[in-house]
Amino acid sequence: MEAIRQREIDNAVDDPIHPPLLVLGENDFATVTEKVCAVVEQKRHPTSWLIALGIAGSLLFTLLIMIAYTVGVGLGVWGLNVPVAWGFAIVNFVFWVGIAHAGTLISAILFLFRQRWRTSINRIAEAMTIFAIFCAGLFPAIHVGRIWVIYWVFPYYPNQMNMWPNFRSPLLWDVFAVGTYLLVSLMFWYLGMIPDLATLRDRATTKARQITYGILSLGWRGSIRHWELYEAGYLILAALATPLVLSVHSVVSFDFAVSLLPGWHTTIFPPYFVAGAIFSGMALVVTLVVPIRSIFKLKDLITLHHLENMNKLILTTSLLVGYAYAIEFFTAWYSGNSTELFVFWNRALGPYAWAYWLMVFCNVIAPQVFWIKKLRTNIICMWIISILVNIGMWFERFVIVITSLHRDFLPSSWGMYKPTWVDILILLGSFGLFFSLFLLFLRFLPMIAISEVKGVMPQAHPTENTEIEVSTKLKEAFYNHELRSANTGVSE
Amino acid sequence: MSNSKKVSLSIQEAQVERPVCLLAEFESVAGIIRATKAIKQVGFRHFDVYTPFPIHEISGLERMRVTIFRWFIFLSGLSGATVALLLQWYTNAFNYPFLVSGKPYFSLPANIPITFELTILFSALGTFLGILFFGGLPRFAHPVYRSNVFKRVTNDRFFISIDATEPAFDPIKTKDALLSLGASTVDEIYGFPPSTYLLPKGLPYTLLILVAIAIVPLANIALIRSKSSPVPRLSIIPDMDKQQKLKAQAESTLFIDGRAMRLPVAGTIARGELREDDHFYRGKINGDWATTFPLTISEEFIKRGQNRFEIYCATCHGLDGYGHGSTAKRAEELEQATWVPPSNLHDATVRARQVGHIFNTITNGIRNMPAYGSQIPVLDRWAIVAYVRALQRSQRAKLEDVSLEMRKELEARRKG
Amino acid sequence: MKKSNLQLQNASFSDLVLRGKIGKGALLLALIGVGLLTLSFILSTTAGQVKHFLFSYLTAFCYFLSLSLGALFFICVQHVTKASWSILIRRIAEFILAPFVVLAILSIPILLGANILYEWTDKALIASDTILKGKSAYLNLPFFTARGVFYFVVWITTSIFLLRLSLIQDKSKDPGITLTLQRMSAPILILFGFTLTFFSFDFMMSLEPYWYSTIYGVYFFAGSAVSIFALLIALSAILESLGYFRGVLKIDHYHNLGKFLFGFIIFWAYIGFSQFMLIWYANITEETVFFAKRFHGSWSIVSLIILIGHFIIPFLGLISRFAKRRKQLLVTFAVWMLVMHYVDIYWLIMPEFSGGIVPPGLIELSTMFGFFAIVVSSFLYLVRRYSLVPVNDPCLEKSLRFAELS
Repeated sequence: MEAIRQREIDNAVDDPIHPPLLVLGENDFATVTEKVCAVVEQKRHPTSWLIALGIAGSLLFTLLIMIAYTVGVGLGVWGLNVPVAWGFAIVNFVFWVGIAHAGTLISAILFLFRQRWRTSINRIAEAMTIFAIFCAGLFPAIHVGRIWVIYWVFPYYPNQMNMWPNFRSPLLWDVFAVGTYLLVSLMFWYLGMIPDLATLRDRATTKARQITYGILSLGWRGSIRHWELYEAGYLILAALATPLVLSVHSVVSFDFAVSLLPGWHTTIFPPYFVAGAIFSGMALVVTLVVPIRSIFKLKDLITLHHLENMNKLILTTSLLVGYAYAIEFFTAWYSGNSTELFVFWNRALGPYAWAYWLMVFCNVIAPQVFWIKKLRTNIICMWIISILVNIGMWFERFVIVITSLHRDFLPSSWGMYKPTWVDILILLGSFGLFFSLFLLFLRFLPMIAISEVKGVMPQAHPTENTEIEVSTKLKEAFYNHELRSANTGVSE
Repeated sequence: MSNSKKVSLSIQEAQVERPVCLLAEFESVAGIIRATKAIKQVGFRHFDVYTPFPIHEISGLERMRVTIFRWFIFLSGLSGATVALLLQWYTNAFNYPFLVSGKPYFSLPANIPITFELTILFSALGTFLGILFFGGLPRFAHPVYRSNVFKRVTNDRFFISIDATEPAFDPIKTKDALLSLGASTVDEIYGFPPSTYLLPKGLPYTLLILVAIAIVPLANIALIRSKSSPVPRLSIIPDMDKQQKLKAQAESTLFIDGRAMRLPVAGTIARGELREDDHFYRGKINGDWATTFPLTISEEFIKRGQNRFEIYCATCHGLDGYGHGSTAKRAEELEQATWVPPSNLHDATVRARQVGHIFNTITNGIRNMPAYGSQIPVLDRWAIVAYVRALQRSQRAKLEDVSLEMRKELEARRKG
Repeated sequence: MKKSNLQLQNASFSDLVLRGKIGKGALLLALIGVGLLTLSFILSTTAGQVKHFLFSYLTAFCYFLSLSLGALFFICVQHVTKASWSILIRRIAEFILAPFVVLAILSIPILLGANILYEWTDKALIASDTILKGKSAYLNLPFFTARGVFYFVVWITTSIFLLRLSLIQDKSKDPGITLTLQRMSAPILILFGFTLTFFSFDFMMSLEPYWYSTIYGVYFFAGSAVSIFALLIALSAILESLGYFRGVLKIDHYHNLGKFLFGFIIFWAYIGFSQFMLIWYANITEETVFFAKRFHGSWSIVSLIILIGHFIIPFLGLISRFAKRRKQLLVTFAVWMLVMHYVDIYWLIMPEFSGGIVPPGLIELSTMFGFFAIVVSSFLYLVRRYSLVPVNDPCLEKSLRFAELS
């Protein structure tokens, strides 16, 4: 009895026989609905939420000003120049696309692996994915310089001059990969949200809410005929999103790896980028979920067990990324190619060595503390590590982009890269965009998949016998035999 | 008018008699599973179950539809792959082929990423739209919504509705039976009164006006497109459409001669165009026609000359050089008064001409013969001269000029 | 749930051991295997085909090693993820670890023949070649041998650790052992990742010492992962047809294995494509040499067979739930994949022996069967002694009830 009690309080205890509970406290279906909907339905905006939105909003405003400034004056206001012609914009793009991978990992891959603990965090991660893709898509768009003709990246008709995009270019693959990813993530997110939007509709007290959530929920009424289709479709969507998520960051890695540049051209890039992407995304999920669960009082639903599992995934992907770093370095030496080796020595000992070692520390060394159970279940520790990982993964892209470019084959054209204040403000501004959208999501949409959480509660799986023998008496009771014979022509 | 009223009345009358369905509420998962199983076993078909989350024990009512749905997704994926491949082939290999980094126009490895992405995109769209289509969603009006307790279906209650279309449906008996299965409440749901089918009064008019307004810009675009206008195109974002520069062949007030394009300084020679070598470029040595070739002659060179001769010269001078080329023959046939017959290259005068002179004739023309200098490169002109010399010699060749084997053959021929 | 549990208890411990049934021929089989290998060595030497023999020997060696490596991966991942569905078949995978010991011994001929197999052993060549000279700190026989010994020490000790603890639990019923295994599997996986990668670099990639590819280890891993799921499906079906697991192993278990097989086939294709795509696109001579050998001339046929047989056919064949839930069909595909995995390893190694295709001939067949016999006998050695199911795993019941729970 004591052991069971213990599990209820701290469900991160390892117990090979009893799986941990995924919903703690004395909750039933109604209280779960109540807890999640309360966030959306509370009349007054929470002060902390308002402050956060204020900060994010002003950063977003900065971003808009900076974009206007860049477009108005030209790309010269950025720190780009020969030899480093890809700077912050590409670093930020890869960073945000990487962040976007956690959502699909949690919602699709863990779904396929029947990891039921995903249910209380998948909605947050999916929302994060979508907003991160917005941030990511922004950078190539402004990087082209003439943002108003960005539609040229798509094949469109009428096309008087037969000028089509170059389909053999990895940059165009990016357009298709990231575009597909955005659309599929949106569908996945929205499809999962339909039943919960119906919940909000049914609880709505004002006409405006009723109409808005009513339209958004498409008239969902929870019919098991719909559930059957929904579950089949959801499974297929998960099966589609899984290879998609691998492909997206692989294609991003192709941007670099198809080139002839040492430091970029290496065959391990696709899986290495995917692992890194998931790594950074998971870290941001932890960074966001830790404050959310305490501010919005969701500790019963997002439990320590969930966080511990996330940390284990962070540790795993950290090791995968470390493996890639090691193999890359080894092969640079093994290749016998002097320029290849130089790039790596330059990374580790050159003028950007500080960025390289910061990356190694944050991505490979720091997450190793998660080997220790006490630390991976410690809220403050995991929060710090997750932020370190975010920093480290940003610097990973910085190292890949900048250090490979700044000293290329010709020593006479070596140079250094310095971001301008515009670069830095745009980076900060992209966080403003992300957090503005994310905060609005938290307040106006159900942030936890209510219907899914109910499905993993013990109450949803009755232990009592549900078999039923249909007696003739019951049949009698159901039938109106006169009507039946009158309607079907069968008399009994 | 009166007719429709009658119909609506009769619907209302029908409602009074019979509910369209019964809605039973259950409080537990076990309860709903048991009740659903019972109803299935009793043999009912026209019923539906509503739950806040999927319950696998009672699913399986729509197997067939799910199978079709899966095939639908498979086909959408297939169409995505086809569209992607066709698009890439059409744009980059067919409509406007262009080479990129030495890869083939239609290079499959480079097309795989986009083919993959579009396959996934189309399948996902198929899945999402398929759920809506096969589930008959969105559907904003449904009889069950008329029950007040039904609101809890998305929270913590479970419902079964049995349609009145069920053959053995009896409002009272079926209701009792549902209660006996453990339903906490059973509601009778009546159809919608006809008035609820009507749209709000202003709505159709508003929509009509909006549609009418929406046509205006389209009509305006169509109108403008069909007219021509002297006013230059309005560019919202000018890009580099208008630049402060003078275009070729344009006028300019800046210079006295009024030309925007400036002439090069007198004596300017373009790169590689300094034709200093008189012998090579003009066939002259110290002002006289050259009697020697400015280069050494090989058999290949003469063959090249023959090839060029047959292209440029033979149409008039004839393949043999006697001046009976097809153009000349045709002109004679037509009895053209202005026609000057081409020279016979085997004439004594022509034979006596220095090679430099012949070269000059090809370059600048003579009498009616046009100049070929602009068409035939210098080296080729010399090759033609060499060939003309060979041709001339061939017509006055002696037996000693021919190789030994040929001599035998020729002698044999003469005898035969 | 009660039913299946009862079945297992009724079967009793002794029924779950193959002792005295098919296990008897183990020693004989091993002798046949050794005999076959010796015979093919002698015959090929007399025919002046030592190099050919060594290359086919290496191919067979890498093939069977990849199966055992796959098993090591499978077991550790099941522990790390605390998976319960697979417990019923985990012991089969644990038995597949047995060949590590015999393969360690069978690696000796590769060491002895290294100066025929590996170009970088040629001292004169190294002296005249700056690139090889640069690599000689890594690619030299003593270090190569030391690394080989290290890999096998790691694999054998971890295998013994995993198998021993699992067997101890059979008797002691201690659920704590499950916890230990779960905890230790994570570091073992790290060791596994690095040893597998460097094994593939050393024994396979260095056959072409100028060529390098950072993804090579991952490619080799993907092939191993595909083949272990294929092998588990095939072995489960064979054992079931012999009367074990009957009524306990449900189609849902096969379905799950089939899903993993399908998933890893896609993963393999992804890794293979990544490697090919980047080398094809960049078109650098140092790198294209690998594919130039395999895409031109007669080897292109083998490349095509791999593309179609290792990916397209199983992808289309296994995509549907229908196929994964038909045992016959699934087993057919599993066996097909095991054959294709051989073609894959063959494609990795043999082009370094000959520019023209070498159709599997007598030497290949006899070395393959020689290895097969020895490896199977080592497998049977364990099968004869220990229970086929971890009978006292605390989560065994969940694995038995998997069909209902899923």
